[in-house]
Amino acid sequence: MSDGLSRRSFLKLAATAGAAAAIPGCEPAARKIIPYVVPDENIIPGVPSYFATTCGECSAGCGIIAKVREGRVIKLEGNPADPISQGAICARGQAALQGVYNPDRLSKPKRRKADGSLEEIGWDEALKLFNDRLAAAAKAGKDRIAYIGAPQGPTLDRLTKLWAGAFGSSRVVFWERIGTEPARAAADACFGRRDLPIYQLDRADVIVSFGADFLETWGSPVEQTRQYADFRTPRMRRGGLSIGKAAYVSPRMGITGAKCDAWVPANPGTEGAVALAVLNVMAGAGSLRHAGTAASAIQAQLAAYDPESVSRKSGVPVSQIKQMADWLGQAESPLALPGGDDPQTYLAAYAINALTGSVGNAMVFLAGAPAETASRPQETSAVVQAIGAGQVDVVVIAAGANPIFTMPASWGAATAIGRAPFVVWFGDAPDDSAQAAQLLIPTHHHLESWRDSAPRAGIYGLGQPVMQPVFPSRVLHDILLESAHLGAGEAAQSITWENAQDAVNAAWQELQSKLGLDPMGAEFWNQMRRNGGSFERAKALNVAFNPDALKGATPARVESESALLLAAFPHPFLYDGRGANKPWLQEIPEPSNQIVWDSWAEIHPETAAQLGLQEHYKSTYLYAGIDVIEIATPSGTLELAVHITPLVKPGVIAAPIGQGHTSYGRYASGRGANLWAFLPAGSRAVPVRARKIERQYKLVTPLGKSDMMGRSIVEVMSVEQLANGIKPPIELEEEENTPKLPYEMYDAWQYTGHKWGMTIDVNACTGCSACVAACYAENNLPFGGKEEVDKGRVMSWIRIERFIPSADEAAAAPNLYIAPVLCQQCDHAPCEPVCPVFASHHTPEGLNAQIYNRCVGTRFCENNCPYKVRRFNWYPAEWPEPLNLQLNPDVTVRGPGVMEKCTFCIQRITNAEIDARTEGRQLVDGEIITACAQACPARAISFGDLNDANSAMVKRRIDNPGRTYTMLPEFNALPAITYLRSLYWEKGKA
Amino acid sequence: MSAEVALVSTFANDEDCVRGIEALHGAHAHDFRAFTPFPSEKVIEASQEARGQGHSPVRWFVLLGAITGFLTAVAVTIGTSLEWNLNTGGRPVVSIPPYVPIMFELMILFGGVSGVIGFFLLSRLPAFESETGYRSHFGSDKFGLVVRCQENEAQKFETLLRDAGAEEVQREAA
Amino acid sequence: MAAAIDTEIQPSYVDVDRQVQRALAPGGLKYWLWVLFCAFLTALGGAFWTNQIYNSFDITGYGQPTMWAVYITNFVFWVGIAHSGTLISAILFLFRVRWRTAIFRLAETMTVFAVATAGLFPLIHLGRVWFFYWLVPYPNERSLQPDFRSPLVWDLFAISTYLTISVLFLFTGLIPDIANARDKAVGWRRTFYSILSFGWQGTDRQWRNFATVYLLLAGFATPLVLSVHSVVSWDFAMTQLPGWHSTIFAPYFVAGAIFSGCALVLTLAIPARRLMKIEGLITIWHLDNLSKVVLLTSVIMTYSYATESFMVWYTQDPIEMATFQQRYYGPQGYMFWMMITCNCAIPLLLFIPRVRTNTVWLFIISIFVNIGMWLERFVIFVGSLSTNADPSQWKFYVPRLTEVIITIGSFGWFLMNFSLFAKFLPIVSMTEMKEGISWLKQAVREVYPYRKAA
Repeated sequence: MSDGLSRRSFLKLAATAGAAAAIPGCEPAARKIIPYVVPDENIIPGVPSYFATTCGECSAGCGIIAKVREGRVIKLEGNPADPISQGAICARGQAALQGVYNPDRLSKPKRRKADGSLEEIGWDEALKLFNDRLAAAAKAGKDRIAYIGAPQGPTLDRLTKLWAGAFGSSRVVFWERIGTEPARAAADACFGRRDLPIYQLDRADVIVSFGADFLETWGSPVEQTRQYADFRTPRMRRGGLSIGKAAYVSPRMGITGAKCDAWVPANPGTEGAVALAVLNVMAGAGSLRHAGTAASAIQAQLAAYDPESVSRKSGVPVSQIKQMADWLGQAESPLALPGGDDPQTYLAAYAINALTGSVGNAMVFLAGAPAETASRPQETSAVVQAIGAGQVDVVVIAAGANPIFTMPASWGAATAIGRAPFVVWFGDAPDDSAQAAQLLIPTHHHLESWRDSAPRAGIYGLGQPVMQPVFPSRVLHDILLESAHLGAGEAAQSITWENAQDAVNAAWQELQSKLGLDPMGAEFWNQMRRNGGSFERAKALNVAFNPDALKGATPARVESESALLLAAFPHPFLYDGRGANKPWLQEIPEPSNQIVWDSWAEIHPETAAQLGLQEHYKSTYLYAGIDVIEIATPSGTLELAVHITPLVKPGVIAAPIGQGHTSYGRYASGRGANLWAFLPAGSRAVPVRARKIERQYKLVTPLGKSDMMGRSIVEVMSVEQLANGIKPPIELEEEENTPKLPYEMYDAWQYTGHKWGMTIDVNACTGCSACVAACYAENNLPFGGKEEVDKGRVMSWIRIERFIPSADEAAAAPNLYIAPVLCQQCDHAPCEPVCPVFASHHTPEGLNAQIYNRCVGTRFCENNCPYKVRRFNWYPAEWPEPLNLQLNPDVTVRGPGVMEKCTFCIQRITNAEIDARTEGRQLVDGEIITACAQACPARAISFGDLNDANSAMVKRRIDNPGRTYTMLPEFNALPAITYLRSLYWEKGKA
Repeated sequence: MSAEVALVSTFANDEDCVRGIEALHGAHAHDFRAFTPFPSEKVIEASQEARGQGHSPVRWFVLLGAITGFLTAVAVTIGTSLEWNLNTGGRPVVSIPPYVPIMFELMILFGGVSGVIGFFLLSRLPAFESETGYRSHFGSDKFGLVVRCQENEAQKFETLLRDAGAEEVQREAA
Repeated sequence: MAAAIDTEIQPSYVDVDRQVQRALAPGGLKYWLWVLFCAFLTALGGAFWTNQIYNSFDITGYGQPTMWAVYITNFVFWVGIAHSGTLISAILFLFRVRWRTAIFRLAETMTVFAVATAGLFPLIHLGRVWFFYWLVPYPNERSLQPDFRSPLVWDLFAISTYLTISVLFLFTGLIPDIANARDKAVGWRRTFYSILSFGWQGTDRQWRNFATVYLLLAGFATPLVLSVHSVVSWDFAMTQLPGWHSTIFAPYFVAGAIFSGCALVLTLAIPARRLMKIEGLITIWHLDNLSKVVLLTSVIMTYSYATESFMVWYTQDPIEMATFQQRYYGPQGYMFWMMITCNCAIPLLLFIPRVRTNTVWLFIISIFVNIGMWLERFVIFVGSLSTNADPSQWKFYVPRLTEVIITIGSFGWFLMNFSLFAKFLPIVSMTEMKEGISWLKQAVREVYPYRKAA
């Protein structure tokens, strides 16, 4: 009887079932509201607090400001005090929020059982296990412990070294696959110093980039994007109005090539050879002004790099090599940017800059450069080999270094680490390397912990925790210190700090004294925490170029007359793969291809035809899928879906790095392929064989047509037209088609007081999509995943539109048309009068407002919107816990069935207006700034009051006569957004 | 005085029926009721003439309804716009042209409805007791003419009706 | 046929009554199975709608930029269907067209139920249907009101007015017939008819008012029917969307509506007269006249298509031109050509008298016309949305299960209502048939040459 269902428990069940049945309703229920039982005096509900800290997403180390509401960070913004970011921030930086709130973060220590599955264990048990293994390893002898982690800033890295030292191990590597070694090696050869130069693009008037995607991932994209926008701004040069001239040598165009005047398609790996050939020609032409007598010697050294042979190798026509040499030679201050992993590219570029006198101007070595952050590849591979050889008992993989994912196949990292007797993994979201670990320990995200960073001379970024940890994780270095104090005995006495915070604090006291301030003064520390660090202007050094450096120039590694070449490039958002678990970065289309949630193989139509590849369509001629190719590399074969595009060199297969995680959370795992595993060490190109396989795959893009069909969406004009005041044909056509005033049926509506508007400089916009990410973060935009995007349900309020010029346009157009498109806030908004319930209407301040509560979902407004910028909530938005903690409390989360759209960040406008009113003053221009404008590294977007003739936004229109246009004017919607035409040098004349 | 009787005459077609009505008209007997299976214009006109009636007053119901509808629409459209005065697409708060369709539709709606109401009132519908002398075949294939008269006059009217072409004439108490 | 024709030669008032009331006899098993089948389709559609309300539009094929798709297509399709009914019953009544008498009741019934079906689709289409009443101006303390500038509000008023007036018109005409049926009926049917007939007895006073109100309703319905579809067309013509923004839409839509409506009358009448054995009342001659209307409107449609394209070509507006280029040769261009075949080419067969008098041919042609007119709406609405002003937002729409089932369900709902009506209320007006018997006789003489063909 007893095992039967007792009456009591039956009633319980019935009750729960009843409750469950009662739950469903038409609209999602309101979320629970939990009041403060004991109010925190530092938190005023509804008032955000801001913390300055340092971005840990990449090695650029931008200063950022975290906006914190009710103890939760909800938005990251650039730190205006930081000379690198100057208040801007990139998409990856924004997405750090989805790293700290990632639903797949490790919440408890886990141990791997015999059967390979993981079991949760308590902290004490986990730490005991860790400490014991360390102690045992230390007893076993020297160097029995290996640490592989990403660089975490000088102090923490020093701490790590001390910790390892305490256990008698020197096997500590700070691993970055996209490293700086080639640059440092070349600097060593050319200038006898191993530090990195900084580049000042805005000081140059001609830029030739040899494989450096300086607008995407290379160097410090935020800074370079800003400088490049400045470089391309029309100003008087040599007695004429002109803009900087740029060329990009690379196997694929990307947005860097799109924004340059000339994209020079070269075989991957031959950028260096091309650079040397250019240098060779320049030496011959005598345009190496500062070479003096050495010019002939240099030419002799470069005999192997005559344009003809290089042209054969690289596929770059001799004419183009000569032209680049010519541009650089003619320029007042030319700048060659070296990229990729090939040291000779850097040699050549440094040589060009040095011998044309640009070193110290556009390219500068600063005094007091910080120590190298990442370890050299050979050190790292040595450690991996040691692990493989069984010389290591405990392997510590920490701080987001994902060796198994990023290390070259030739190193055999996976097998080596697999062989290690005990592997401990520290981090936030368990990645591919965590699968090899016996012990997984959750540590703080960089937004939750104390750090510092020294990206360049004079800049010491302070990273402070911006909020309480989201998960019950701990600080990596606290654990390490504790283990040292417990297990290392007197060897650990040298380590004086209790924890990482002390260490950082101490480091700053050192800095304090270095800056000649009283080490005990607390004011400095507080000031640093307010500023986000100490930003000094380091002085430039005069460095001498050693002409013999070029002797070291070795022929390009990748020889390729016949074979196909695979050119891997870091995905602008996913970078080396660390971004893949952040849904924003997956959902925002990659700017130059507009593909989401996937990796792909860019193939030129010619090559595609040779391989017999094509797109496939359903019976309705609707895109059904694309062929998949099998690519055979020396280190294994991979399969990739093809993306046929003219934006890549024929004979090259270009594929993005960053996808293909075997385990990195729900958003990352099982997408595309991991290119790192197929690339040799120190190169991003490899000769391959490819064949079509009988499988089709659907790459998803929100982009409809790549052809702008001559419509005035992204308008352009040549520098000549601007200089000579010639109107571009499209404008003449518009003037012809626009009826002459007065042609309105009603009198114009009067806007007294404010009228909000925007000016967007298409010339500056690089399509980096920082604005899109910022909008996702600020306005609680849901992400739908690949399937929803495929159904045309992208929710982004602002999108980057990119069009490929048709063949006949190509001569008189930039390489790509790129512009941000958001709600134009029209005076004659077509969406408004068609709404039956006034959900869409115009505010007295000229905003096109949308009342979510009033919307019944007829979707008429979007039908009538020429710009198609309104978004309908097709599906209930979901933010898996704890991603929902990031939501902005000032912005409603929209339910299914309602329309939504760009509001010009009305919550920011309202807040500013309320502040102004409470302080009894007028609004100041620049006080209100929309999320997109705030994030934009290129300063392309400016927001302001149209009724204020002195506002920067209005000035920008006035200051650029002849460049202003409104999108699709034939609809006479009178947008509040005015665009400034993009400028280009006419081909041939350029 | 003699009691009232009703003469129920049946006709095969409307022409005969009309003749019957005219005969009664000639005899100044206007207390009659004609039954037809379909709206025979001849019969309707004849009886109207006999009774000296003009067109049916239903028209006035329709006219009034239509005017009311139009005015209601004017009031509602302009009134609500003034009540919640928002700018949509730069149009003035009260923009007449888009309201015209509403005015038209409501004019039709009110006119039609009040017309039908008028029809029911004037035709004394719904009727709960049967008319004197109604025969079910009046609804299908025969035409009826019922006249009330004094018993002593009955004979005279019966001959009148038979001369007009009545197939049969029955008497029944009124 | 022969038998039917013979009864046509000398139909008396009694014949009319007998034939019409024979159709009112209790339905057999087959009939109820059919009704049950339609009811099942309706229920299925309802279930999918419920699911859509519960799970939001996620389960449909909708997405940017095709905000309107199958649902609005169905809406306009059904509204269009409705119009021919009013045309036949009201406009032809005003013009005293003889042949309408036998079929106008059927057409009018179709009108009422078609509007009732159409009315569902704007609701099904709403993102938050539970707030549909916000489109209606009603006094509320927050003084929130609809925007009468929106064509959708015009639409709401037009459709509801149209439904009301159609119902009144249909019902007023029904009263004498119901009374007639009452006098013959027994049992519960008698009570049923007694209530519906309001005690009508066909006195001269009743007929006098009846005639006037019927005439005036007809007079109102005529401009109404023209306005309703014009308003519907303005839902599109009032926008700036290339492919929609066109002044020809109102007349063009009205013509299309009558075209599709008359075709559906044929589709319904041909099986109905056979099943209900009323070939004697709805004769080949009537179908012949109907098909002439279909033929005329088909030619008007062809002209409209030509004009529409011509205007686009004549303006040389690149955006409009691109949209139309896509309409003809784009991914879904095959639909356009199917539409042209169904609406412009196939109806031309009706020029042949033998085709006009052959029920099988007429039935097949009418089906093609219905398909063609549905496609026309899809091509115009969805096609234009797919190829809008911003090429980067072009995307083509493919319906998914939900839309398909709900569309099928709407047909079930319409046919169920129609079948029930036809069984319980006189589907042919007995009073007007009697009124028109003389005309009918004359008509039979006219069709005599065709009779051999039939």
